[in-house]
Amino acid sequence: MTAEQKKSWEIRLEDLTLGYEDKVVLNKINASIPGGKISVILGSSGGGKSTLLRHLVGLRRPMSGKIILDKYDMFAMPDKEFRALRRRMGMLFQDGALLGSMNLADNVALPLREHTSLPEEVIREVVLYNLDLVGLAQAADYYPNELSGGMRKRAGLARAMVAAPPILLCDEPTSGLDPINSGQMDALLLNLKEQNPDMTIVVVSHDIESLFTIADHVMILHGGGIAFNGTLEELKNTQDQFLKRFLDRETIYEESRKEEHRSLRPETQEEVRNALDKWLGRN
Amino acid sequence: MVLGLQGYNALSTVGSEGMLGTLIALGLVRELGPVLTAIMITGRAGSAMTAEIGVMRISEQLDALEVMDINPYAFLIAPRMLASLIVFPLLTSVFNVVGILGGYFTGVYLLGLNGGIYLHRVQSAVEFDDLFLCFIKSLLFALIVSSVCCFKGFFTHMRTDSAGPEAVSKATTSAVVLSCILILVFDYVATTFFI
Repeated sequence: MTAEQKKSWEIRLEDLTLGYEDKVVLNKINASIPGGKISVILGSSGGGKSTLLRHLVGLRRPMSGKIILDKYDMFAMPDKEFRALRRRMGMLFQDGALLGSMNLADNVALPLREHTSLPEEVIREVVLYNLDLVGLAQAADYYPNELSGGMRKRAGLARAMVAAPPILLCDEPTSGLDPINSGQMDALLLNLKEQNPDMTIVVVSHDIESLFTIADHVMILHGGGIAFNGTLEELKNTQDQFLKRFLDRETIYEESRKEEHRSLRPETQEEVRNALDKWLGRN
Repeated sequence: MVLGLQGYNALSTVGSEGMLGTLIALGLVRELGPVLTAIMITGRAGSAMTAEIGVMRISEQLDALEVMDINPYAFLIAPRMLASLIVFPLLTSVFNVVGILGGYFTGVYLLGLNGGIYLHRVQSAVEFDDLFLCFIKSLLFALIVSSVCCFKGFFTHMRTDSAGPEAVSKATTSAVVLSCILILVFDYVATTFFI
């Protein structure tokens, strides 16, 4: 691959079938993820969001079909070029995936130390700059097990960004975070996008609030296929009942409240109550 | 020390207590030193290698290395194998020396054997070939233990009987068991080859 500087990288999925061993998760999907935008991939749990992301970054090979980054067919390339292409991607893993034996600064410096001959003082400066971007410059010497989940995610983002990749993939950046940390993570992604307008950011999430905050483009996976692929505006104006239901938590809540569930027989209730009373010493 | 006690009792039945130094030195240098050291390192460091790499696998740290285009074999496994190749012979030597001194203590201080005779037997019994065999065995066991333990951890995610933390614990157990079995098997093979 040449060292040309493409403005922004589009990702195209062509007849893509993904899965594990003989279990198909996504079947013959065709879609395009626009370059230079923040695209959010949504879907129910087990719907294939993270699977798709792992394939996009080349950690798994698809069962069939193509993933095309700009004009490069990822899995048809020789290994050397495939690896060169993958260096153009940064990935934020769900829990940051920081190496536990290194402090934050060393974690963030790792790609630079391994792949460049930059002097140590330059690496240190770049690392501190990136940690500062995510608000962790003061925690450079901390080890991952000394940090909260949100801080680990932000450090993971700093590491993903340190080599200034044109494509950034984020696996559930707000999962498990409190609303303040979730908001900070969304703001971070938007700041990154502002500073790097050509960067293609793909975020896997099921955080609807985050979707409305950061997304330019949305892909919704459902039932082994793509239920929606378009802009956030198109999604907001959709008349599709499934999509409206997917986005409207209130409706799901009301429906779930109305669902009837089986109840215990009175004699079972009595027996359990007596047993618990006895156990808890209640008269 | 136990070897000293047992050896002394066995040798005294044929009136050869003076050979205790020979028995202990050859027993340790040729067999017990490399084998027991390897088994102890497997329990202490081998299990730690499997558990650490296994945890890295299930917490996506190995995937992160791959995404950063850092070869996990070169980054994680090669240094551990190299360290094992250096440490196994050193610790085996320490084991042998401590074992021979333990035999001296038992034989001379507890059982009344002549110290000069014990040391003379040790010195005259151990030849270069014995030390060479000990060295080769410790290198062989270093390769076995480090590769089995590292790869069991590395492929934790491919276990079919469990997943997540349970897979790490099973991989660790299986790495220790397999290493110990292979140590004994290859000890026999190496001994056969050299004798």
